[in-house]
Amino acid sequence: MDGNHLVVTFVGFFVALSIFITWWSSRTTKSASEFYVAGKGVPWVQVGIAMVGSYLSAASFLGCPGDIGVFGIDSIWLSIGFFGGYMALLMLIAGPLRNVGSFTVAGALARRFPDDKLKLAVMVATIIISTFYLVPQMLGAGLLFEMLMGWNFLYCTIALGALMCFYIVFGGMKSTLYNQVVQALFLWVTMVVLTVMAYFIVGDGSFTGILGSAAQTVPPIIAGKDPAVVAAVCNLPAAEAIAVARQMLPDAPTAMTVGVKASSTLVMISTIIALVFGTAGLPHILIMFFTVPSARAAKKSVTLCVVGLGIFYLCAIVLGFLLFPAIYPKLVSWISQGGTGVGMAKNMAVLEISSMVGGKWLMAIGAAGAVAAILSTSAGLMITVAGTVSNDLYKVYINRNATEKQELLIARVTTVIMSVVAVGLAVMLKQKNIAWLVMLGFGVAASAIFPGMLATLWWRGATRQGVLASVVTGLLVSVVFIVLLLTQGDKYVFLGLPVGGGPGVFGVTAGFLALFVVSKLTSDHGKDVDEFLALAHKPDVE
Amino acid sequence: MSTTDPANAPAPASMGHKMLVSFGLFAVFFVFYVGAALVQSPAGKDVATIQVGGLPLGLILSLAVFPLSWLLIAIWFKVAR
Repeated sequence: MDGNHLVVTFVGFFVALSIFITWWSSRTTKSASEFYVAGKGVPWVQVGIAMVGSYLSAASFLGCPGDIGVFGIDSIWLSIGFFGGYMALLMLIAGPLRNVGSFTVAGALARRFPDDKLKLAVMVATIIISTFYLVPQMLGAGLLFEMLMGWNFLYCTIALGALMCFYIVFGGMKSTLYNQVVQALFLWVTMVVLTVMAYFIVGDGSFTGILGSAAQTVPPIIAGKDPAVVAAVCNLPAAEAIAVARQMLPDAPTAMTVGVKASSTLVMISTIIALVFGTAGLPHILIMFFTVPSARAAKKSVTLCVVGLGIFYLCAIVLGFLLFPAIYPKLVSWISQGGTGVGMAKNMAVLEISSMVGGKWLMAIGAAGAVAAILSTSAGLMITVAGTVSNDLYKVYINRNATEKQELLIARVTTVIMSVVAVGLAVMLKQKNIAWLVMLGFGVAASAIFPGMLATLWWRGATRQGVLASVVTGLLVSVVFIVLLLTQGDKYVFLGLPVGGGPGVFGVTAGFLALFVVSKLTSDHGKDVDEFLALAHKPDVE
Repeated sequence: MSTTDPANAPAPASMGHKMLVSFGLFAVFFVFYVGAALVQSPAGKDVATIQVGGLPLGLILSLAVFPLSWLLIAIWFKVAR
């Protein structure tokens, strides 16, 4: 069986399994609670693993090692940043949010501040964040099959959108969780096995040896732009190619040199602020806490997730450095093809090393792992949007007396519309960088959701107007930065501030400032604030 | 009916302790996290390249974010009930 047939077989297996799980779980998905939060009785182990699946997108599986393979050590903070986000979520948000939440993020805030305007603002933020996160998943799936199999980008993206739509419309949160568990386990095991194999086959079991090789390597992003170097190294074995490139460019930085990718400290800090606070504001992660029976279970599920993600991202970093001794000539050759080639290098490097250390079987498993990452993340995002439109828009502004049946119908229709919108945007934004689009979603989440959520759960002095101001300000600042980024490019400086790192540090600061100032000037501390805080912080029970 | 200003009313008994532990431990993590990122940024380039045990300090500090997080979580589970 050749590589392409194996890829089709593995991906087909996942699609069939997803359909089976959907059919199986749809038999018990009848009420709104079962559709949105799987009846609130899911074991913490299952939710912890599903959370890993929901969080690990194609950007993590392919992009994190691939970025190191292109730029070198600067890119390790992509993995560390993604990982670090869970600390704020675990220590500051998970437990209290589980205690006060219902179905959506807006619903949790509205429990203390019952205000339709606040619900609307959070709903808009949720849709924007989820769209920024969902579109790159669709884009990633289409590109993966286009690059790997030569299939039509549009058809692949449509097929994935249709599959997502199917398993949410019929199975709701329960099917999403089961699918995420299967996909997370597969993805995680694939990453660990691949890294261990590559570590011993390519890296000879020596971490210092791997770093020593990186310290000699001219980063592919530099070597690939020199036609003479490209011509000289392309047909050589990796070790020889690294030596030849170094001889030809003796003064070039190495893959261990700081500053090859990140030219500005402020841009880098803005990026990691977006990651650390953005995770704690991602609606599709936050709603997972409503699926477990207690706050203690919510914390335990995040802890399992943090340990799993830590191992995954450590592997991603090691695998990134292993790309140099494994496939250096290929990386240089990709980069020499210009912008599209850089994308190929970032997204295909993991599959290339899989093929090298484990043959076509491992490459096919790697490709299926990437598809698993895309499926599980997209499903979590779609159900989040469906829930917020149905609960926070339809039930608040359109039909306050909606029956459960009508509510579920709206959620399902929203899923279909969202799938169409995501596929359309993915086709429009095909040339954009996947990890970069995901980063923008984190920036909006950090700016618009995190300050208000933190204050609602912990600060007695927060007021309804203050929280509303923080959501609106964070959202506006993020949108302004994103529009500037999309229209002016990442070198643009706005009011003396570089926009290249996204809205992260600026949006979070603006959100907290608005929250503090407006809360000090107003006095609506919320409905039964004592009761709310006592409920949010009640002692943990199993 | 209470006449206390909600903004200045005392926190529920368990909340003060939880707040101290949760925000305190998160602050430790955050300071280390941003500090390690700064060392590994262009501004901290000179410090990042100092060799410690054959490895660059920037890389050691960056990778230390993982075990430090796990340690802080273990402490947090012990004391923030």
